[in-house]
Amino acid sequence: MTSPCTEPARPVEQFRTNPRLLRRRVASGMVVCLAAESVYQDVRVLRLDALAASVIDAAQRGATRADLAAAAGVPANEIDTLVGGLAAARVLERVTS
Amino acid sequence: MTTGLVLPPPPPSPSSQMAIAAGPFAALGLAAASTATSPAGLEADEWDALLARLTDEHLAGIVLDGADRGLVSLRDDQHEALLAVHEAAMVATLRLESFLLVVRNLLGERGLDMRVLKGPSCAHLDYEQPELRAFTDIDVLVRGEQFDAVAACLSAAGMQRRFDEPRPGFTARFGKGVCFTAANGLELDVHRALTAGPFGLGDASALWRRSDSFVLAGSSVECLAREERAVAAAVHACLGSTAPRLVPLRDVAQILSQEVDIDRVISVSDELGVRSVLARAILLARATLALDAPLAGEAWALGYRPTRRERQLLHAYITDDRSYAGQMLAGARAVKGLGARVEYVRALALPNRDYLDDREHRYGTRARRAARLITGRSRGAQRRQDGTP
Repeated sequence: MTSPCTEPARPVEQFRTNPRLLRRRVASGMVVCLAAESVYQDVRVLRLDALAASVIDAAQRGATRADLAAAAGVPANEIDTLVGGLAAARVLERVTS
Repeated sequence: MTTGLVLPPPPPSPSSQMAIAAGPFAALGLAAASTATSPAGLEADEWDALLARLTDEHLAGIVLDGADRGLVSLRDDQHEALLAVHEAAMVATLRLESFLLVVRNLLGERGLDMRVLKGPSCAHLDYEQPELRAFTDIDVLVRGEQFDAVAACLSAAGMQRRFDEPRPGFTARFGKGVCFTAANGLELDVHRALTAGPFGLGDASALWRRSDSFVLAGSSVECLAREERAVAAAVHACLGSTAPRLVPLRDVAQILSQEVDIDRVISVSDELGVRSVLARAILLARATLALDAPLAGEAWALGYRPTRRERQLLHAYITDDRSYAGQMLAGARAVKGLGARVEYVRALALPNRDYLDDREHRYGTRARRAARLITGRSRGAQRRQDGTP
């Protein structure tokens, strides 16, 4: 008899909003800034559109891409690039469960 | 007979002489707000003037929020213009909050206490959304006995101290504080007291007994407790400039429109020696913002009878010829204790050489300037007493 599965389940990739993020809502979406550690304030401030703002809001407690897409009201494949960009900019953090 | 605090209106700033009053815009969203003129019906030049004023007073967020709530109507182009101003203000605000965290960490690592004043604390604790309260610098209160250590810490971190003090230790004991500029141009006002001069010489320990806190990027930041924030907002609104700015007045109205222990507010103002300032700020907020309903403490403020001395001290701040030097001179009368008063006067009359070189250059010139201020103030006080213009 063969075991039904010998490989562990693939971890589900989740994202959460960077807890060091400072943000303000504006009519066009959101302005965010990563809190700086340096007195020289090498911070970047990003202006994000309404879709990105809704993804950040949805990622407050950690969410999968599918959850984020559902919250933003768009198909999952439409936010892949956005989520990747937000993660690269450290606005979102990858967490793996 | 003494007169009450229903003082003549403050001299209008040039921009407030325009046709559209900006005060009601600063009150948008408050339950007691009156109806503001809807910008949608304004002519181009009227709108340009109003936009300039709203920008200068940092009110874009409040007006946009008022439009969202249907309290005022905006044309599309007006909405776009305000949005651009608001977005720029929010960018600045976030950079400042990030800077605040740096300062908090610097001081915290050295065991130095700090309480946030004004902007960030009001934005996060008093307004419905932090987006409604923009600010352009960071203000923190530090303990007088730790003031010099704080200044040394910030200087060591690369911040530039904007002004010297007349003699070592003067600010820690008698001064309002000092402004520091970071390498990127952001400004930090480090306060020992809420204001300069006689109204800043009360017992600042009243501000340190309690505190509130708010969370920034996962970090808890301490600030004044609500009633103390109300007093600080009143001092800022009433004494911060000759013509009161609208956001500090909105802060006063915002805090006093919520659940607040007004007896405690008055008691704190008493300990700080600024009861007349609080009373005037409450009345100014009601009148300038054109509120339809009274604020907490308004009955007390209407009945408050400032002493002759309080009225004289107020004039060091609210007249057209207000100056830092004039306020510091007026402070000589408010310093408690003969020894302390002698030290205060000696430091101002005979400052160290660097301080003098940045200003009058010669002790004689400084003495003549002081004499002019004293005699000018005396003549002004006499005119006010006589009721002559």
